[in-house]
Amino acid sequence: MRAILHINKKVKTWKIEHESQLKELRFILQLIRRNPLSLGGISVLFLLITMAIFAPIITPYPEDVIETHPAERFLPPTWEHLMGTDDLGRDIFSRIAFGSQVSLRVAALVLLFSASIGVILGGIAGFIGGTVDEVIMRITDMFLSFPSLLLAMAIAASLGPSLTNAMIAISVTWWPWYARLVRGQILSLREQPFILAAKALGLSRKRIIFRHLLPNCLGVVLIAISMDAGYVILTAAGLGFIGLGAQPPTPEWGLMISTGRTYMPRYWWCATFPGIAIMITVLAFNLIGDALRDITDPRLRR
Amino acid sequence: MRALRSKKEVSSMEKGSILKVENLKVYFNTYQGIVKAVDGVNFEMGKGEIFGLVGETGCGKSTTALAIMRLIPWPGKIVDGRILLKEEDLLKKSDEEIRIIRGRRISMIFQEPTKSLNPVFTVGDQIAEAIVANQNVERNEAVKSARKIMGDVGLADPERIAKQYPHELSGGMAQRVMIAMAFSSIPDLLIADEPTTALDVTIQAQILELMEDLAKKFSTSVLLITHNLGVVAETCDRVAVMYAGEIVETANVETIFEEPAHPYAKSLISAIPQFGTTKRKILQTIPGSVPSLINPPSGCRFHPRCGFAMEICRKKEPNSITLNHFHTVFCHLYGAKNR
Repeated sequence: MRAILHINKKVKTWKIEHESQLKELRFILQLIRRNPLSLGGISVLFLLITMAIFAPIITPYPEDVIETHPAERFLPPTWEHLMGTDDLGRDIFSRIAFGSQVSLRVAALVLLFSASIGVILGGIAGFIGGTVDEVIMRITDMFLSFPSLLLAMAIAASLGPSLTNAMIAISVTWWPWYARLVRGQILSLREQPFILAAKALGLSRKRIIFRHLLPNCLGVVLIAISMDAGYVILTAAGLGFIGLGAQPPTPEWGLMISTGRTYMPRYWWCATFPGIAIMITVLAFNLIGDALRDITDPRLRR
Repeated sequence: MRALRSKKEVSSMEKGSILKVENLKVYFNTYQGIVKAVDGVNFEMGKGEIFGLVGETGCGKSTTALAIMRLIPWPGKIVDGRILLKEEDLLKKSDEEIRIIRGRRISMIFQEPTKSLNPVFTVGDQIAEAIVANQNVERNEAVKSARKIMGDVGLADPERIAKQYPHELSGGMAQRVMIAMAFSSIPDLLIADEPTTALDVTIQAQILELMEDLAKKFSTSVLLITHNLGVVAETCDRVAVMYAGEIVETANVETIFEEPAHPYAKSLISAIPQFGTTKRKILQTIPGSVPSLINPPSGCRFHPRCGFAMEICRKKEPNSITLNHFHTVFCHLYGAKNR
């Protein structure tokens, strides 16, 4: 009996101690309820990540990433092969599962790289201003004047067809957007009262940049990243489709559509399932990005 | 009108001068022309004194405050003058020296307290940050000091409030947090720029009282900037009235309310609605509007709106005239009397 009361008291004190965080959590749950689609996006992402992590375990034919079984070509979707087999007899479902690994890895690396560069350069441009700002902004202008897919294609083509080169190409086309975004954020943040108050407290420039300016940009950057994830995957698939990205036998979705395309419409499952995978993934990231934007929208807060 | 505290006609400057502003000029170089926001401001503050700077919106009082902190934003520039903090000219100091003085010897609090705090960190975090930056102590000590000073400023349950974010606090609480940060280093001077304007009237009184008590406790002088004469009456020892970038009158608070000399000050005082009169009176207003600071009126800047304007007011800027020991006015009306 006394043990129960003791536990009760511990729970109560923990709740009081973490009151702020609990309030935030409750608010986020409420927003998710208001945006039911976002729940769909989050579930899909969760599924995707699970599939990527446990691919070797959950797929029926993990060896089909590399092995071929010419005798079993073009088997239609059955219980044995949930999504059929492709032109080399490989189980499409297993390849799609491993493809999620490729896609997520590409998205993560590209976004990490381009966001880091973009945030740093944008932050410098926004804070220092003057000539440095002008130079950085003109460079971003140059990059942004090209449609991103075309620029990525050009860079990938000049570097040579490979998944790594595709990632480099996409990163190079993506960072200017983040630089712009962060610079804009910082320019507007600098006028905020709390920055003046921070200066009035005598805080050093380093403190102001890293504790006051950049953390307040993170929200916008995170939303941009989550929305961009889908498009990065799409761009990578696009590059794979035209042969400039992943090379066979890598189970990349774009590549799978490319090879499967020639067998439409008779053996429709070769191209359709990878296509659906891309569509669902991009949609999921979009929905999550929308929800994140709602969460951080100050007008919707309390 | 609220009851005035009875004070002796002795200036607090007998304890020594803390701040002396001499001929301060702050101009803004805009594409429309040079805005002479502050054009030759002089005043002096004593130790432990609460000095009010009153005037309409746009008269240059906030700009004066920012000039003292050397936080004038571009395209503004301090073009002339001296600002002496205990005999040291702040305008001659390097950027690094001024940065050290800010928050340590001079603190400032602003009008909108919830917006003056970083939205992504807890309040306790920010107070500790201020203490670490200005007092060279370790983080854990700073956190302890932060708790203590939160209690001093009247925040019940500092533990809980320290974990809250600025948007979760009411205006009054947020202002107490700002005051805590401002007093944490026991500064020589506190500049309060309209600290109660954004607060409810009932909270205003509490905050003013808090500032007064702490200023007395730490012997901190307070430069209180406001457009609210009620606040001035309640809290200030001496007052300077500003108009269009210039100080027009400086006096003890009783004198300003009982015997204002400058026509503008007179109009301000008589514009205060009176309670308790049996007859309905028309609210007194000052005709006209605040002049442009790019092309201010010639001579005395108030002359276009002044009921007592004379020929000379249009032609010549009035000099400082001392009416009695602590009462100075800038007006040609009093020129002849003192010759």
